Amino acid sequence: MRRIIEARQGRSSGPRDFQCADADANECKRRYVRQALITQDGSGNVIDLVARPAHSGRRYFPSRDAGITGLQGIGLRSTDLAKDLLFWTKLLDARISDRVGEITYLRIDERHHRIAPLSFRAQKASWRSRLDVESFDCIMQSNYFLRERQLKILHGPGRETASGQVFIRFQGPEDCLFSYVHGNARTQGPANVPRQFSSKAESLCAWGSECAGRSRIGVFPVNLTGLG
Amino acid sequence: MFLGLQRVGAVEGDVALRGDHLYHRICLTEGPPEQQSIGLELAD
Repeated sequence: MRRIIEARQGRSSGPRDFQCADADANECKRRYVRQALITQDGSGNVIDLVARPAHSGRRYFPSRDAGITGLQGIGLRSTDLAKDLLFWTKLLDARISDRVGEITYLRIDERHHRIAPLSFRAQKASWRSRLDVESFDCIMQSNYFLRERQLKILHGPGRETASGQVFIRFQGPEDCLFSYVHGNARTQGPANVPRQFSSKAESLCAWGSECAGRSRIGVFPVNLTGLG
Repeated sequence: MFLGLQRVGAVEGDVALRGDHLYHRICLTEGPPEQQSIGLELAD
């Protein structure tokens, strides 16, 4: 946060053309945090850098036994990948784990990736969320659960080639895309050299699962529905 | 409800959902896509 504030004030050598503002009391209240800095990445996605988010005194009680253990990561709509990467890597110290075509996996902790800027079709939602689940069994149980309820499964079950995590990706309400994932690999340290995978289906799923709508995508067949 | 998240109370008509120890992880609000945001927790 300090680096962004310094960049805004012109006191650091970091990129300076990213907007940011302190969240007021009402904005912090709606976010259940004590302090927040509201900024934007290169594509205009609003990114809140928050401190002291509220914890719950009660344990999580799920509405169904999906095996969710937390939020694993997000896919973000990108309209300017170069500028987005500048934002994430230079300002927020994210590191590039691997690339599939133009999809870039970014890590901010020991996990293979938490954030993936990518271009996808115009949708109401500018993000896709990945929910971590306890086991591979949970992925397959949700696969059958979703199919029985005729929810649109977009990709999977499959295993991401780069991260090794098992996933199933599906469409929720209001065009929001969700994934259940399990087994995101841990990185071996900062010395990892990012790998470049080609823009092919097997670069996204080692098992060969199909992306829904891939035939409509055209020149970059895996760029639009690959992650989320 | 099919997602498996837990709905919790929220302010000003928002719908907050949680999936772990935090009070909420996803908050749904009425409004245009430009109002969407994601949050990252910082250490300090």
